[in-house]
Amino acid sequence: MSASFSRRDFFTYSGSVLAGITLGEWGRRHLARADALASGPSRLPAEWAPSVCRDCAAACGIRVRMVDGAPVKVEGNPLCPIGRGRLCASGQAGIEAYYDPDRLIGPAKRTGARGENRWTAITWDEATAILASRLSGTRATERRPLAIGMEERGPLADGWTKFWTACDARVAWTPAQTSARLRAGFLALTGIDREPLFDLEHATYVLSFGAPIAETWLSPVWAQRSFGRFRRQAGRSRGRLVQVDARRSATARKADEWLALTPEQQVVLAYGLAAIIARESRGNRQFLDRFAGNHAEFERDVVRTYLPDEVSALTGIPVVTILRLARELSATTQPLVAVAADASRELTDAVFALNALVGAYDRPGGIYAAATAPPDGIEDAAGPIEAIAAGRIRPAVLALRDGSALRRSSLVERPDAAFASADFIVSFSPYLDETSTLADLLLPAHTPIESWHAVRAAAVPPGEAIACAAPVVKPRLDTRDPAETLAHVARALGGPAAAACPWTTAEDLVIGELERVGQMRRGGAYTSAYETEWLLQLEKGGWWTSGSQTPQAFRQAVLGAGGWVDPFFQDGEIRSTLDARHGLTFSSPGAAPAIAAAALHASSSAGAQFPYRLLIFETSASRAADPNLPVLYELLGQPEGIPWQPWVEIAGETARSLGIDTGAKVKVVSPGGAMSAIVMVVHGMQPDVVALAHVPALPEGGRWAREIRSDSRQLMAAGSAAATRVRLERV
Amino acid sequence: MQKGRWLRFAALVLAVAAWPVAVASRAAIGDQAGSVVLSVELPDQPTAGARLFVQKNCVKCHSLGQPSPVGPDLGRMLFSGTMLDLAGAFWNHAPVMREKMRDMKIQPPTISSGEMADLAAFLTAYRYYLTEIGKPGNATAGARVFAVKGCVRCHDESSTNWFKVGPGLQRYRGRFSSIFLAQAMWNHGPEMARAMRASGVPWPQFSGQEMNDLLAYLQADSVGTNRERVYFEPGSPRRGRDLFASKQCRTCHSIAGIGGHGGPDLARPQELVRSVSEIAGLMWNHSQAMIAEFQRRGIPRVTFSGPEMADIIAYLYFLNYATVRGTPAHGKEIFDRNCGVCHSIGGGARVGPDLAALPGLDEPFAVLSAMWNHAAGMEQQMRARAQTWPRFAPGDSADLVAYLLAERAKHPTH
Repeated sequence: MSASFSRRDFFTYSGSVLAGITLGEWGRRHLARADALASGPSRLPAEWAPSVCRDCAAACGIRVRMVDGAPVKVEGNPLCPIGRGRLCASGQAGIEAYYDPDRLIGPAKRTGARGENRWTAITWDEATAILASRLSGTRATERRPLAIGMEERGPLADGWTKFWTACDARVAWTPAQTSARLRAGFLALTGIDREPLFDLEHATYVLSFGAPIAETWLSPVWAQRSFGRFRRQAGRSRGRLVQVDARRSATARKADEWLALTPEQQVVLAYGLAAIIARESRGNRQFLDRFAGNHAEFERDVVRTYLPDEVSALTGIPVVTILRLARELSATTQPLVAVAADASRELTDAVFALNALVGAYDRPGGIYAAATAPPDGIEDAAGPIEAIAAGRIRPAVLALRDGSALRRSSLVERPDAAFASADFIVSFSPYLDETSTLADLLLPAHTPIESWHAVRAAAVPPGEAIACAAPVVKPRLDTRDPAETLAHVARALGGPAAAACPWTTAEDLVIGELERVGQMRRGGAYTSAYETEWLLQLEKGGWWTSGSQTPQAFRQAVLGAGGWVDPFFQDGEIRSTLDARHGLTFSSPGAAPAIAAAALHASSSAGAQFPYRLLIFETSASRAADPNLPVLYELLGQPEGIPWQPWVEIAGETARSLGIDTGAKVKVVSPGGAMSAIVMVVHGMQPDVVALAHVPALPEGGRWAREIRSDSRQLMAAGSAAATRVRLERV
Repeated sequence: MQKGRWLRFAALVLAVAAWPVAVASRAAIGDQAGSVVLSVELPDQPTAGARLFVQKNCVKCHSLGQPSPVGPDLGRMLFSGTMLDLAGAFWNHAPVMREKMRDMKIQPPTISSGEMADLAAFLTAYRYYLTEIGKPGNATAGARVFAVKGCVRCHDESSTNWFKVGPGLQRYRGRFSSIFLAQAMWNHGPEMARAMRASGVPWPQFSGQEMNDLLAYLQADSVGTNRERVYFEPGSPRRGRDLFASKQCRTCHSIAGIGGHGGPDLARPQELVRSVSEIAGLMWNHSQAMIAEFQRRGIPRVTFSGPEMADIIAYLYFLNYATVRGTPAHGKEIFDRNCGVCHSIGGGARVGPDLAALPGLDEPFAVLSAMWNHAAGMEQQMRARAQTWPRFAPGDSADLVAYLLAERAKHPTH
């Protein structure tokens, strides 16, 4: 070192440099922090956690955005094979359920009169003891308990069924929008007691009888994705959709052609098309010759009964249009006839018969049989609820897992009156909703993001999927999973109930399911579309490779991804069953014209007092409009937008005759009651039909629900929407 | 110079002298007629590269067994060369691929040597594991095979028939891999041979898709996912290599000239580049002769259990891909013609770096991944100099790599 640079200089400069670096680093951090705060929440630490939407039986995978440990947003899980990241409005609104200010904060028992909404908080031990005591008391009576919940499959639903079956209860579900109600028609034609799966994506032409494909059909997110691919997919021409629907639904708006027909007329049109296909020998000969069954008799009957002129007269559709539709349907390579999940048995039979004529079974773009059979011993809740309403049964204990029993539009006119006959009602709903307000005991469940999940996805072809996830957050309130509640009650009861419910928590059931699935040595954790395709190709080739070395790793992988999927599906079950049972069994097509004619006659003879036929419908927003999801009330009446109110759709002629237009307020009056609604004029609807959106009212429910004061149930005559006639009064 | 220093000096000289030998022995495991066998490690899990296909964005242009969005469907391409030929083909298409990537605004991926090996193994595996996808078994043809080959004389396809010698074949329903069938037929070969001799049934020979068709026939009513399904884990070529040794297959068979000479050398190209069912058929066809040879040599009969047959067949399949022979002399010609303008090996940096000085180029896939990763810069320089993109014919990439590794061994500067 030269003389001009001394030791002192060295220390001075080094010290200065060090101080500069230190200060500079401090300043940089300060600026970075200020920048992070200025740029808003996107810089805050955030992560996504997988969970499952439990709003319907579709079991879509969701992911919850967590910021500082708090859930702030719900989106679709991109790894979930059902939605691949898409989610319906109801699913996205799920976050509101968690934060709903009117959630039940813990178990409670009724203190006032039933329906009066006066409650006393109790502990879970007290609640368990009350239910156990009630259930042990039922053994002395002849009146079996009844347990109702929304359709769901998987170990948690099985746990519910096992408990109630062990208590000698009837177990029923409300089959939502899946194809569970189509089983009977499918069974009659093919002999397979499974749900039919519609391969919409690969169809080239779809004739839909009221199927809300673009709204709530079967598994809504899957259906809408399939619809997108059906319309536009690389390497093939755009699929054509003809929608036969009483109202101009969202699906009808998107269709290439919309035919406005009432449900009775739809049956006539379906058989009318079958008659033309038969008369002109346009059916799929190869399929029909191989699986003939009673095809010849069916053709003879349908041709004799459904003459084009008569079909035209009953439906109002020109003969030339009917002929064109039949020819289009039979001329395309992969036609598919779709039907609404809650269609009548007559319409279901007609649709399955049409599908048989065009050879739509066990082929791409057609119908397959579901891979797994639905659980045994569960009945459709419609039967028991109607039986209670009619006073035919009086359950000693009525257990309601959620609000679904009465949320559907059409079952009973006065829910409180209907359920009054039950000695004791226990509700597991997390909210004060239609059913819980009637209960004697409230055992509130967690909301989905607080729960364990293992739900078998329904109605998604092909393959199998089980949506699995751990809770995203700890329970915010003193709630409990029904599986855990029932396990406690079972132990208190002892005997068969305790033997049937060996688990302690919902987690036990989920982990048990994952162990079972892991041992099957097929499928794998939810993964990208590409890797799912790779898995499928491996399995087709006879191979399977485990992505996880240990059961713990497998469990972690499945829970981390949000579920398990096995994309492999070996088709041919329908054809092999038909081979074994000597062909198709068509139902008799005879009664439909008479039913349609009767409906037409009723319409013409109703007179001036109640001139309109009432059709009650649900949209994706109104179906899911819960008292705890206010954002869905904002979405009502789309695309016109009639938030927070029920609306009624009427034909242009009807609007002109009444001197009203879209946006006017009317009173819809039936012999049974009246309610207010906003008018939406829909050109092309039949002039003698008014379609009323069902938006569930719950004046005693949470703060959001109180905004809706009346709903379509008040109008229904004799418990049936189909027979109800109304008039419209200007307000 | 003190004694200790002499010793240290001598040790250093020895170490330096031994270095090229060690490198050369790593790079080449044999030398035959001027060519060396390059050490390409067999993959343990050939399907591990499936994820890379997505991660590296290959899937944006290529599909596997589906209509491809841009590039060819790699699942449908029959590629019979070695793994290095596959990587060479990859290189040949690099300019086109990069151009397409630019159009599609895709960042060209960087690929490490391990990833390059995994990708090559995966693309190789794809043909192997899923070749039946292209030609699914024909149940009707399988029924014909079942009758014509005489299976029907001893077996009932649906259930055990007391009037037939063999067991019912219902057990194969739900077992979707022909390896189940091949393993059972192999293991029961001697018993079957005895029964067939007694019944006067000739030893059937399977060719082409016949074994696959036979399986399709046995699966004919195995529909719906409700039925229990049993799969094989994809075989591990590395495990198969170990089994090949432990089952004493090497006593009769050689691999690239190493091993016994009773049976054929199994490292012959094309012979075993077939579908699983075809390889299984080949093994069955030769099983009688093999059993006779076992007896003659006093070797205990070899049977397979669990995944062993899958592993062995995977090994035999991958053998041809992983047995890579390169001729350094030809590699020098390729180097001089294409690479020598910009690179030297031990001669210092030119336009490009001195390849002897670059670290990490000590195994074939490291060379290929380095070439891929620097393709953009190389392409730019070559365009500036109006040079054409070098293309590798089958075998060229192996020759080039053999030359490069040999030369690097002579210049241990890295």
